[in-house]
Amino acid sequence: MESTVLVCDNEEILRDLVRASLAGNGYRMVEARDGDESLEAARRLHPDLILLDMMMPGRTGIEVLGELRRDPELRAIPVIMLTARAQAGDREAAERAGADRFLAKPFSPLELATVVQELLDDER
Amino acid sequence: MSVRPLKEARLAEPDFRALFEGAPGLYLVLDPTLRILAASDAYLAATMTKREEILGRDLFDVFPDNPDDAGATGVSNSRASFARVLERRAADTMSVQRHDIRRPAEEDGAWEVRYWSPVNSPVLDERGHVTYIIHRVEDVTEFVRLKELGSEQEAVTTQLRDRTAQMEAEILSRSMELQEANKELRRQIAINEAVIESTLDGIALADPDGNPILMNATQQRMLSDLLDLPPSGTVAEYMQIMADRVTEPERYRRLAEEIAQNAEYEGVDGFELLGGRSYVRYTAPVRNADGDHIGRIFVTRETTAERAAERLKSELVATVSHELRTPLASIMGFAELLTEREYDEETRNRFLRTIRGESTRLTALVNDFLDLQRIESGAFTLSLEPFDLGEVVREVVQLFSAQSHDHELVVDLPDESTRALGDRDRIAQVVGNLLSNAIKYSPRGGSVVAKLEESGTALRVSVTDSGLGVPANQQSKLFTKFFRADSSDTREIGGTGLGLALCKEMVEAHSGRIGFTSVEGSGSTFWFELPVSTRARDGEKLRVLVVEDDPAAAALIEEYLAPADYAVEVTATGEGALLSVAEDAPALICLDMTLAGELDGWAVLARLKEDEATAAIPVVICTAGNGRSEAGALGAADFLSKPFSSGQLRATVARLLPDGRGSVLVVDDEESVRSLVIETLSEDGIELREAADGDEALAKVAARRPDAIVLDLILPTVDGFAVLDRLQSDPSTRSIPVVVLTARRLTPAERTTLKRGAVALLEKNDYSGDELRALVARALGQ
Repeated sequence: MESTVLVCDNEEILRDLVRASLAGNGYRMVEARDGDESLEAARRLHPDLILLDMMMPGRTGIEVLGELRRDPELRAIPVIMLTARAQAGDREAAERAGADRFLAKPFSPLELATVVQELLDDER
Repeated sequence: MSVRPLKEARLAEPDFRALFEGAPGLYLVLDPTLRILAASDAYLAATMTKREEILGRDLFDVFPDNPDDAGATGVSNSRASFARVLERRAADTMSVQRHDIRRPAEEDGAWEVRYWSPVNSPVLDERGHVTYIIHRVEDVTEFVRLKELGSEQEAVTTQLRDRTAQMEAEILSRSMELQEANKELRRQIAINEAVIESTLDGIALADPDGNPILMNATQQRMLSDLLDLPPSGTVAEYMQIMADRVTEPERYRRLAEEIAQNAEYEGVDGFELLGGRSYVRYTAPVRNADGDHIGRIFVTRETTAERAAERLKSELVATVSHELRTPLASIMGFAELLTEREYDEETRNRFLRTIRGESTRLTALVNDFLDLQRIESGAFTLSLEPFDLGEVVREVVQLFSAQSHDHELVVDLPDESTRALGDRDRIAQVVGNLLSNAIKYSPRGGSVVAKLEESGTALRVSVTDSGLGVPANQQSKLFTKFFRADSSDTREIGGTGLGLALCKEMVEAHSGRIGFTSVEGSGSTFWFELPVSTRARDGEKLRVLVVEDDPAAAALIEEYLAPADYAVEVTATGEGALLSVAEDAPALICLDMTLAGELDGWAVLARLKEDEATAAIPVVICTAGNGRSEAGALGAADFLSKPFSSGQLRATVARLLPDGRGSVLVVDDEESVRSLVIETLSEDGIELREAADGDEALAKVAARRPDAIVLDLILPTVDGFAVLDRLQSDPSTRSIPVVVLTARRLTPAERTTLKRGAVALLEKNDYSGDELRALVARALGQ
């Protein structure tokens, strides 16, 4: 079955990059541009994996992740946290909030594709 | 809460007078005028007086100097001692005094030699005023006499003589030591109090039961103003209330417990209030010289500002990292995809275009960021030269017209010359940034108008769009680095968030001003003003209107003003003058009182001052007649009696036409105070703006930087101290001089805080118009 991947980032070019990175793997890709859209899409679509940018307008990635982990329906969805802040403590904050993986921007598209596939395989 | 035994209080109150009178010592109670209010029985016996004879009488009336003793000093020494008590409000120990007393008249009324060792101590009321003086004496006559007689009377044994001498010496030296010690102690206490009161750390000392013994001004302010706690109550009570107000109540409670249980606890801890203020506190047991535990000291320092600065710094680092890494992620990511995977030509080109676009963005970001850093660190020099600002505006608009087809770009330039003094390239960069923003934030197209106009003694460039506008709650942050207006409409709009911050720095480096007005949904006008240099002033002379019916006199005034380079216009009638003013307001009017037409000078002056639009134009009366005070009452700026010299006229005109008027922001929640301040300052040619609370003040400062601020301390929303903090924390507002106008009594700590902020202080109780004008003039550097 085709896996649904939700890509949450306010930067259009970054969403393009993620789409290009994961292209050809047969995922269904859905995009969200801020924290509220991300939550709304997650609730509506129950994606198989979520890529979450840490610094988004409105609700931050950490806040969105907190909401997801509190929701019994959504808490099992694997989440990869992406951030360009890359400050000491960001990785810890992401892990504390319950992220499965943490990738700092700039990231390698090939590595991202591998990580996504690994997490989806674990799910099965 | 410490429970006080109530049983004692229920006992019958003892008869204090009887107790005092029966006390085994020689005591008098005096009022501050040295009237005798009470005396002990022992005192009456020693002085051979009766109570009813001395009560209510002056001390020295009862005990005058012995008239037979020409060298008597008893009265004068005692007076001096009482004067010291009244002045210092502290006990005064006198050396041994000879003060003879008189036997009662019914005996023989003769004088008897007496020596006394007196101590005078004050009794103070709540406010520290002396209400009573207790005069205690010891009768040392016997010892002194024994010593004096010692050499004559062989009957006195050596032993007794020695003992006498020793005792007297002891008494003398003890009293002298006491006096010295008292003086030193008073000095030390005064120094300690001054140090404790002036420190910015809160200092509190509690007894072993936790009752406060001492609190300095800063500590009291922390408790009452900041924490809204009464400055009484025990340490345990205080900490219990505090625990509910801090961000980490559990940790705070554990510490409170530790302090309550462990008298030996010593340590430093930090805590933060839910409102955001943070503190560091040191506490330790306090012992006296004998090592007894007498209480606990708390020293508390507010660290809110330091914490905020730290947070701001790390937030800035995180933001810079984010801004640099985001385009870098696209560049490296798409480059990796291109090298690692196969794509068709169209996709390859799309990726390459993205890489190029993001590289450009990264370059712009790095350039802007480095520019800002250079300006902020002062390592930035402007190459100033006269240039045509109109030409710059036209060129920049042309450049953008070629790039943007969805927008209609309009240039609106005045006919006059628009020469300014400045760094042409930097100003072009500012105009470019404003235009680029106007286009970016009008995603649905529309017109963008770049207008150049004169504004007083400055040239003003404004860029108006009919785009998205800036939400009101984001307006005050607009010139902050990396701040980008955020709403669902603006999310897709790119930018470094540095453009406006950079514009502001550059305009201010030119001694100019920058600001904006914006309404969300209907567009914005961003503007900046550059002061016109005297060198570059040729095209826009200040206009002086001369109203004079005598052509010779008019020609003379024209000639007088010629070297000063004003554009002089002459009219012979009052009607002509009013017409000319209505057409184009001059910078100044020279007005004769006798004129050719229907209207005379008085009528013209009255009309000008009646009309709001012309009331501010300074009018100099130039007349052969009288009426100086009448002219002043009507609002004339000055009065010159003919004949006057060219120097007189030029000095008057120059004084009334300053090169740059200052702009002052008046911040006070009381409408009446604002109008008073504005009325006081309005005569001085200052541009005045108002704000009724701290938020409004900060928003107005952000919209356009004033040259000075008159600030009340007690304000709704953000108070005056917070406004000062915010002004201080922003490098671009730090140097704005502030005149603090307050009705509140300030603590020494608050005064110190205010002084650090380089402000002048005027208390409303001491308010005078002249004082305020002087302070504001100084603040404006005039």
